Amino acid sequence: MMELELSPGERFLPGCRQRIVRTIFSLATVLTGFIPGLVHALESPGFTLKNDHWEQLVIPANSSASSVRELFSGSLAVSGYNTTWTIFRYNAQTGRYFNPRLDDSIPQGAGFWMIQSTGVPVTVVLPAGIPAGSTETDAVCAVSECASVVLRSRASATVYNLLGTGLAQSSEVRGIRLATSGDCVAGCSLDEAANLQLLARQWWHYDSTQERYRNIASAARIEPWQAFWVPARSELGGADAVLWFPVSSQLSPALAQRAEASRFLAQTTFGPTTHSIDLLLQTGYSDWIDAQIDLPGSSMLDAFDALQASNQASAPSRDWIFETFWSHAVTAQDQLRQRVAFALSQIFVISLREGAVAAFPRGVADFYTLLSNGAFGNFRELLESVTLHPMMGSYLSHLGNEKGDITTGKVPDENFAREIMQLFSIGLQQLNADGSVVLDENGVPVETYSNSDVQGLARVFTGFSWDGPDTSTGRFQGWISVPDRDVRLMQPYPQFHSTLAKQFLGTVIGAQATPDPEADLAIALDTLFNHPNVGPFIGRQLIQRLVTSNPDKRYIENVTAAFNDNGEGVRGDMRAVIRAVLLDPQARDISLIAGPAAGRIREPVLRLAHWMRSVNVESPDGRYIILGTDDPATSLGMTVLRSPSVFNFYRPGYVPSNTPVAEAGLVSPEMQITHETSVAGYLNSMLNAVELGTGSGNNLKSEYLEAAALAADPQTLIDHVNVLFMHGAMSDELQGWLREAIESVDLPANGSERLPAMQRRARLAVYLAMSSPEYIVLK
Amino acid sequence: MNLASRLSLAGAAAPFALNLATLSAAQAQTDDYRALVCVYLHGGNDHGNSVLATDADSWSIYQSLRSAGADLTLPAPGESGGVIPINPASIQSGRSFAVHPLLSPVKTLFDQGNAAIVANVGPLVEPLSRTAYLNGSGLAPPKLFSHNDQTSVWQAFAPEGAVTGWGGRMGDLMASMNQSQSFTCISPAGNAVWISGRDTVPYQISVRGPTAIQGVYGGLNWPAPVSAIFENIVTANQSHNVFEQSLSAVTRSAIDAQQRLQGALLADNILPAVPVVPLTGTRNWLATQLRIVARIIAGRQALGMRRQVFLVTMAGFDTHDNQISRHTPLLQELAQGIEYFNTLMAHPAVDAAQEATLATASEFGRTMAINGDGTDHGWGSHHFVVGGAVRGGDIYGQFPCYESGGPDDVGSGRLLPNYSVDQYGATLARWFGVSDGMLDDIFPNLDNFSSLRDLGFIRS
Repeated sequence: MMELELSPGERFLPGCRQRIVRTIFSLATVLTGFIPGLVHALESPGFTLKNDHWEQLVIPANSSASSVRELFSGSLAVSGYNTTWTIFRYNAQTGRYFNPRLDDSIPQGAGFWMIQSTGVPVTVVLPAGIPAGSTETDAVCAVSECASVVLRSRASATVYNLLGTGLAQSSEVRGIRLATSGDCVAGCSLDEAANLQLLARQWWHYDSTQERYRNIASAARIEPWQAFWVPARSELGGADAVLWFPVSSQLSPALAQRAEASRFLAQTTFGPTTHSIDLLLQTGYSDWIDAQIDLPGSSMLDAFDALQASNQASAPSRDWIFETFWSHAVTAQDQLRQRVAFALSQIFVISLREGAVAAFPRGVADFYTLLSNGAFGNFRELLESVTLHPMMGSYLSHLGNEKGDITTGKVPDENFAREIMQLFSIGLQQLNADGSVVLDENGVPVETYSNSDVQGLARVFTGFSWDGPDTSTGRFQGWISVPDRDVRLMQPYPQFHSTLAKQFLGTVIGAQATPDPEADLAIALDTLFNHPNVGPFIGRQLIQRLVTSNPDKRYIENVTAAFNDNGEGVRGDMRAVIRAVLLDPQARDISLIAGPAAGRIREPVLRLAHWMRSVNVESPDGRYIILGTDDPATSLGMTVLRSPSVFNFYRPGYVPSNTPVAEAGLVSPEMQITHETSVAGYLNSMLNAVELGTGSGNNLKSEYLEAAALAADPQTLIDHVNVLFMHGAMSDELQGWLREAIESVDLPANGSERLPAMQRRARLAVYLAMSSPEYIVLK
Repeated sequence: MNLASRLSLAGAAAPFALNLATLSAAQAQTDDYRALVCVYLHGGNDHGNSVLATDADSWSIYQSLRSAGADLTLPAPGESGGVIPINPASIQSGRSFAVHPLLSPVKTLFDQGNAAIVANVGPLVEPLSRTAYLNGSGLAPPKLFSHNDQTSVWQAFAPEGAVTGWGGRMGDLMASMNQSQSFTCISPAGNAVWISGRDTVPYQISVRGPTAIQGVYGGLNWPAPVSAIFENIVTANQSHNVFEQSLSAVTRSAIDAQQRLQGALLADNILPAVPVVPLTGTRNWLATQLRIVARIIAGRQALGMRRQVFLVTMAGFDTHDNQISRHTPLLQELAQGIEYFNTLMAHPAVDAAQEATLATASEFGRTMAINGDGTDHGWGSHHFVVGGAVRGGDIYGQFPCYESGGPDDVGSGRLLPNYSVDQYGATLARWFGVSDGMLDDIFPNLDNFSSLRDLGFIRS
């Protein structure tokens, strides 16, 4: 075991340590050379070690049973230990650093320094099977459970203890207690301990982002993974003392189970309700998915037609699309199907902003119905019906697309050929099954297609146009039409279909004497469907829409496997894909939600729907008339089926510049529509909704009876909001703020003012919770 | 200042105010001010019908390419609704030029010397010959012809996923001249990489001005303590989660910026009203964005600003079909917007005619070949630069020859760019005040075009 002597003055200077370990690194480099190509996933939750930055860490688990090797071998090459990564622990009694061996264990609560220099950020994910940090109940512990960590001291000098809580949950600083054999035998708060000169008031945690120490004793909470220096003063007299770290206030086991169910419903529906949580707990997750798949689908087209029937005088209206979307989001039984349809509408994008699409609102309703019908079908069929739907044809201009003409130089329209590859099936870069990009020998991503593939495929998408009883030129051009052409898939018009050879993605269709648009289309769609990219490309996006922005490689690989084979040899079975997305350990394991990269920003449409469902908003006339919600300054900054372009409201790979998300090497699609104006627009429009109602005439509102009934006891109300909106993850800090706000509304003991006051408490609790970043990020 | 450090300064309004107070009045009153306004045309503008060569040879090539099947040609000069001739100061041998008839307001500015045309600009890594591109031996930009990637390449010299663009990097270098650094880069459009720097975080503003968050101002008859609680909640910065950290930083910025801007902005009723686009009957959206830009520029002394970068956008240029009916109103809106901008900058309440420059950008031009009744994704394109500092009345760069298989055609009339985006941007950045040595830091390929680092279309 190597020990390095450091003087106390160097203790707070990571630069010195850095020099020392750099020496080790460079020695090792000379001897063994760096091991290149250690590329690790950035996507998974856990702790992200930036390249070449010291981190002051503690394992948020009961790691006593696990060695350095077991803890880190899933994330870092064992062979790189002490060359491309290293760990230093600190012996408080000797004041020396030491470098644990690979097979040494690290006790729970013991802090250490860690650095990695693989050249890229590395996310440490603890292997399955590592038990949670152990907790105890003790009279000293201010709440029900605490983690205890021994604190060393010396009678002659201040001793620096490098430690952490060893918990996967955060710990509220104001609940920490020091227990000694002397004055603090019954436990002292940190303030009391500091006043008794037992502990320094400042506990230093090294913030690698800022490259400086921060005093975390002044923060609200100590987070998992954070280690820090606790200076134990000589007044402790050399005896060991104990620090008790409270486990943040937790829900009762029954409520915790409801909270977990609520989280599942936040991923799979437009928002949990007390009732839907009850049902899910009776059914179980897997059976619930099966039951949802078996439910008949709610049809936007049927709802649209019903509105037409009751508004005979009116021309078909785009407003009915939005009304139906909200009606289904709030009230439909087939929530999972509707939620997946909403996700698919953000992959297979058409937009009412385009005049040629907006002219056919019933066609758009039919397109959305196609997506909801396809949600649990086969991807090959979905791809074909999306391709042939006249609204997609109008949006990406392959409806009425004519073959080229060599004599004039006219060429087929390339629009759909390009976007079906880039956006609807395979994407721009060759992918591995785990979603990582295939690189060539120079480390450059291998592109999936070139412009000549686009031109080849564009020839396939010629000669399709409006359906009808004949294939006349007038019908092809749209001058002659049947009334319901906007809800009938396009038909082939051989005379406008290219007969030239068509070459794309390694597939070659020879020149034809007789044009055969249907056969060509089948070959093209088969080629795309069977491309190995489809599973990871579409799978990742579905994960991002439903669960998390940064799925780890293993998660994507599992979804890819489900896409490639549903277990019965069928490729493209969306039921298998959806199950894999929702039941993956990364989706389900709630211990992962504490990670810095956990979750996704709920898109604003989901937040409003969530509110409506969770507080039982009911429409007095059964209608849900919420129209355009585009304006980021006054509304949600997005409206279903009104994306600015075929690239959706946001891109799957969006990296928000100059944010902690970017610094962590992560993506956050929804951050693309998050800016100063839209955060204000959301907070203001949500305030209006919660306090006054939303929709036409603010008639969509809640009496908050369920929540108000609990409002006499602030904590009960907070727990209720925590379960429905935060899925049990509300921080102690936020709970404290909610409590203060709730208690600011005086509650008359009885009389006619009592219920309104309780409702007021409920509204405040719901609104303040929904305003918090903790809520907006679904973890 | 990046968002994380902005976050750590949450509640640090007092030190900031101190800075303002201690800066010398002389500096605050300086006339040294420059604003660059990028007008981004989403979808890929059809340069082919925006600026045209009208000499007999060029016109005949244009007519043959643009009337294959459907007729996408504009009427000749002199014909009813014909293209409008322009007379650039520099002679391009044997060639004559015109602009789209609805660009006549731009033509007027061109004639007045306040507008220049930069011909055939596009992303390039290094000088690239047609042969080297076609046989694959030359280095071309990645992911050509893809909207989102070429948007990113134009704005940030790398495909989608890039995090700093040249507008933002210009802001990084010049922000120290500004007393209110967080207003260095401003977008009334959405988020875009062009305006994001290494340290400079763009501020996004509504076209109506900064949006106040009601909860900070008492909510809806809330009990007294709740507003303060609300502000704590929405700007909470103790989270371990990077998404939560990022969100609360944006909200912190929204609250602070609104409080600081509301008094500095020019009042809404002073500038002339936003015009209606005649062909569509709707309010000119480009002009609407330019109006808030002008209101901010007018407040430059109150905010102590000396360098600002703005991004405004127009959508709809991806004219794969019905090109004539789609493109015509867009050009009318663009020209009307540019004219309006010129009016606003000359308005006494703004008084920035010499200090503000508008420049267009777009992910690509389009094919000269037609696909029925539209065009497909191209590469090089022509751009407009407008303002009092512009050396206007001229076309910069050799105007391309559209001939199929000709020297500038890399297939279907896609243009091999003559000037790189690096050169175009560096010319603007030099005017903005970026030193020659720092240009290479912003424009990664500029060094490969060292023979011409300044295209000359603007006075430095």
